[in-house]
Amino acid sequence: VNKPGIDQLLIASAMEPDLRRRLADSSDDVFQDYELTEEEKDILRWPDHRLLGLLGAALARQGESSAALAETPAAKPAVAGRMLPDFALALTAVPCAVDEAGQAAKYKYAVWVAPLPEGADPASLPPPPGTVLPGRALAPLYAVIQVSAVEVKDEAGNARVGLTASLRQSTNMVGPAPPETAGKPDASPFGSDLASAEARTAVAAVRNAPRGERYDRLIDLARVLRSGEVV
Amino acid sequence: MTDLWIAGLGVQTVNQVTREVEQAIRAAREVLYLDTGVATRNYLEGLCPRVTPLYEESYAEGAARVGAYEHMAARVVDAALDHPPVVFAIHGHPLVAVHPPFLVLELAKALGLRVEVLPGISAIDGIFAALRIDPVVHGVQMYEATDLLLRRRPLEPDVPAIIWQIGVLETCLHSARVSRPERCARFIAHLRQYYPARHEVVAVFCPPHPLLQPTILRFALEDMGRHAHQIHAGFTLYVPPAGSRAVLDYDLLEKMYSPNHLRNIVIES
Repeated sequence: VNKPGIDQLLIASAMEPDLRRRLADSSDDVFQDYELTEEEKDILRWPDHRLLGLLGAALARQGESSAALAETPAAKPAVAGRMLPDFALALTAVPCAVDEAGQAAKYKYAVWVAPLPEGADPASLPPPPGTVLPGRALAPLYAVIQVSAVEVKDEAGNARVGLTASLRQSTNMVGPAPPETAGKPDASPFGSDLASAEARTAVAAVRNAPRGERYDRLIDLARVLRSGEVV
Repeated sequence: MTDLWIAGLGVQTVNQVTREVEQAIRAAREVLYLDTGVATRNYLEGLCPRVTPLYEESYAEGAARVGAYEHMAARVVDAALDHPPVVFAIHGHPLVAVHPPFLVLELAKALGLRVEVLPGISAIDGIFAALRIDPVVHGVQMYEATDLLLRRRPLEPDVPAIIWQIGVLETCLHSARVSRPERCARFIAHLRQYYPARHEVVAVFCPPHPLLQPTILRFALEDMGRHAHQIHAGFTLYVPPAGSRAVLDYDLLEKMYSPNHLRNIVIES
């Protein structure tokens, strides 16, 4: 009697938690019921990226060969335009405090736009000659406007240049990035310093609390950590 | 061994529970849940001997939502310390538009608890199905409605937008009360910077019961206030693109169908 092979084992292990548990606990017992190569057994004992190959092969055997599809020539899109070089503009906006009695009474703005050479820092561009700021200069905004250009034909066949602008840099108030924990299951989601004395004290208070007081100590711990920062 | 599962129950609770979530519930000594589905409790009690609803005891009209979040997190972690393993079961996907699971993760990390997160079907899955849209074709931009206003985040009008939590605009306080039209004014004004006044938008509510169909409200952006009374906390806004962006990289476009280019970017086997 032919034993089922790797495909059947992969399908059954996706459906049956008990089989997955047996595979983890006593894989050799499970292997006796299936026709498997030594390599397949090795992959099943220590599942890693190699399992993707087994899954892909099993899937391919289930369906029609994809080779025929690959032979079909794909429709090629009509290329209806020609790329022109991009260029960038630096928009500098300088808030200027107009002081009265040593206090900022109101604000005025000095604004200018200049071509931004490739790789240049917009903050390094000088103001236009003769610029006079209308007050005490505060931290400026250096916005960078990227303009992409393509040459396209209109319906009559005449060439025109399509321009698309996008802001590459748009604020002078960028804060630090939030803690990056994506794909790091061991990381603290809010970037709390769990080693701090305050956190360790709060953790110890939870651990040592009598059953009836543990809830309150957990609330204390939540507030010691950075968990309350919803906005 | 797992001390605590954070599990999604799906949007149509009992109907959309995944097999791995059901297995976790069966293995747990207690399920604490945040879900207002009519069948949730009956369903969970059939799988686990101890079932604790958290919604009613956590939320109070006019109270800060962060207090409710801390309460839920403390209840869940308390249970996990006392009699593991437990399940924290949440409507939809457990990490989509819901804060308490992140507090639980934070506390669990500090206390050395072993946590596993089990995904569930989210409202966003329901929206894609209800509206028959594929988020990959034109991309998608997603924001929380009040955060969008707070930071005055720019929108790309040529990319579909999904705005979460339009029914709880402009407050961190809990309320189940009906909204006034004025609640939408600031939101409409922000979107009007990027979309025409008569641009048709779609408010969607994915139903929590299989007998119900999704609720889909279509209206012009400037008329959103007239629907404020219908838009409750479960609604999400879908804003279709107001235009399309032209292809700019013709060099790449040409190469996309070139076998030579493909050979240059893959490793020959």
